[in-house]
Amino acid sequence: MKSWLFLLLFPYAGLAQDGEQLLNGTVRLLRQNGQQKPVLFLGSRRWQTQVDTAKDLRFRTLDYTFSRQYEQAATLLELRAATNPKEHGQVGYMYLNYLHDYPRAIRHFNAYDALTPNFDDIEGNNPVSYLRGLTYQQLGDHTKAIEQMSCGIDPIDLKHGSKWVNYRYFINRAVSYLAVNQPEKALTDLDKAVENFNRSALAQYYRGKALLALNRRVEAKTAFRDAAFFLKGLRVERGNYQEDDYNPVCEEEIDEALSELK
Amino acid sequence: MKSWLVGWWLVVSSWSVFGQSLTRAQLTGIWIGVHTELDINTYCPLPTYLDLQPDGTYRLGLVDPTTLPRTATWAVFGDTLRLDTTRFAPGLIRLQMDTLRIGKAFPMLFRRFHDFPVDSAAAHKTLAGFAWQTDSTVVHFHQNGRVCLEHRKTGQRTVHHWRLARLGQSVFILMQGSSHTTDGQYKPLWQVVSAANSAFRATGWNGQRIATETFQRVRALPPGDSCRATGFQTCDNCFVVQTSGFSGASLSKRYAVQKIVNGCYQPVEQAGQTGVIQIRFVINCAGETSLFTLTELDEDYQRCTFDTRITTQLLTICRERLRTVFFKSDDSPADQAITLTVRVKDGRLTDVFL
Repeated sequence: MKSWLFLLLFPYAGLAQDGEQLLNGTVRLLRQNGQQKPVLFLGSRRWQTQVDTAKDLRFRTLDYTFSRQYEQAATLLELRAATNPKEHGQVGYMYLNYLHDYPRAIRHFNAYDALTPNFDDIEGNNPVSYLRGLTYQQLGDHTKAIEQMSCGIDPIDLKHGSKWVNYRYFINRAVSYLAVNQPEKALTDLDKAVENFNRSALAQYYRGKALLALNRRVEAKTAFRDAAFFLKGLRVERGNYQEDDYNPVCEEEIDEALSELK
Repeated sequence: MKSWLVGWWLVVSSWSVFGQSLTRAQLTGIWIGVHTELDINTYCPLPTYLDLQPDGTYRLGLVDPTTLPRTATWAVFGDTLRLDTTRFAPGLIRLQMDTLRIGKAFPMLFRRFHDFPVDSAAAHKTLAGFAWQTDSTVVHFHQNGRVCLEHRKTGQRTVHHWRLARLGQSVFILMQGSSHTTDGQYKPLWQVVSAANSAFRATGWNGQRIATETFQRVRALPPGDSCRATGFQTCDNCFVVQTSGFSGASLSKRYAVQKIVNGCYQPVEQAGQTGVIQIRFVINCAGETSLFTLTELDEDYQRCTFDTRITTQLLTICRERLRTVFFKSDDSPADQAITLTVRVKDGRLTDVFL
């Protein structure tokens, strides 16, 4: 649970308040106190007491990871995987997404995939090969990243068509194609991504990069402008939203790309 | 004999654990807010009062009389209390002697109000311009409205703003804000019981318990004198690092942090300098940084010590360069706890994230 929720529920914390706000806060506090169960916040001592005495390994792992106590988190993640091999996938994902420990993520994804030979296992909603590709990408090994991501993308594309592929998969593979100087392939992937989500700021930003690499500067500028427009739109629609965790784009990056084209 | 003792012990312990059963007569009266228990051993002062009147109405107001109190109805059914539309099941209200404890989520502690007639103008004249001390604290009431709270053992001093407020015929000392803000959170309320030139007595939370403390006059404060905090002070008197350090930073901030850290850091090429370095710190509403903690882990997440050329650089970057990312003076800044994590490989940064 994030601290903004703590600020919302706990009225005396955080912001400078006038008398009306303080009284409103006290009323909310009284209502909260009408509940039987205590309210727990990540990082609080009450929460930590629960975590330290919890028998559920998954709960404890998540808590230590989210509160960024990596020393304890890593010990519990390894214990989780050792206790139940089916957890290798989730453990790999935690290392990739939260601890940014890519060698360990690869090790756990490999162990997870090895549980069922000749089958691309699914972790969460993603093929494990795609996640492994993302991990190689974060390590800077883009050739392996493309190879692994293709293992996740191509069977779906061939069997069901590109419309059934998550648009972020195309974008992330395109990022690796751009890194190995294959902008045509990147552009093909990004066009497919745009077909699947035509308001994607992320897809337009990387399209701009691919077009720039192909020296199509006017189209690149349009793509960057579209990216800026869609980013603002998505923010209005969804708040502080980011389309992808691994290759996100922010306004400043788009502005920099546009200023380089002037 | 033994069973009689066990029975007596059960009665006493159940009384002390669950408090007395509730009656309307016991609850009727004015209750002064002491604090809310935000977390285990973490308290936030409660600047409100609850006036439970015999006719079944109650007023919830601030001791600071700038805001009109809220009015609603209350009732007691057995051990259940109703305040407006909120029902407090048995166990959620604990009445012990002159204290009332409400709830479990953020337990609120109130104390019964006893009205002590005090002349507020005379009290202000007595207090202002002097330093007063108890066994644990020295309080400097400046004429300009500032107040300094100095811990006698540690010498640690925080700055706030003070004024007096009336409730009934009583006078309360209100302290709120910090050296950077006049509004914001309050410090514990103190009700003046008696005031004389050499000492005054006041009831409030002394950090350990509700007590009536004697404040002895120590010295006069020179007219132009103003207090200064010793070191770093958060603007929010209820700021808790533990529960404030986990908010996700926006993408723009993350991008800016990565750019600054990667741009400023000079690699210290040295084999074996590999692992994770985590720096936690606080930026207050004035943009000052402090409360730095450093965690160093090797590749196997075991505690280790990195070359100080690496850690010192990172600490300096956090102290001097990241302030601009998190602190914007124009958008009503608040205190923030930041956690920066970097991955290091042979002295080079390979990853920077919040």
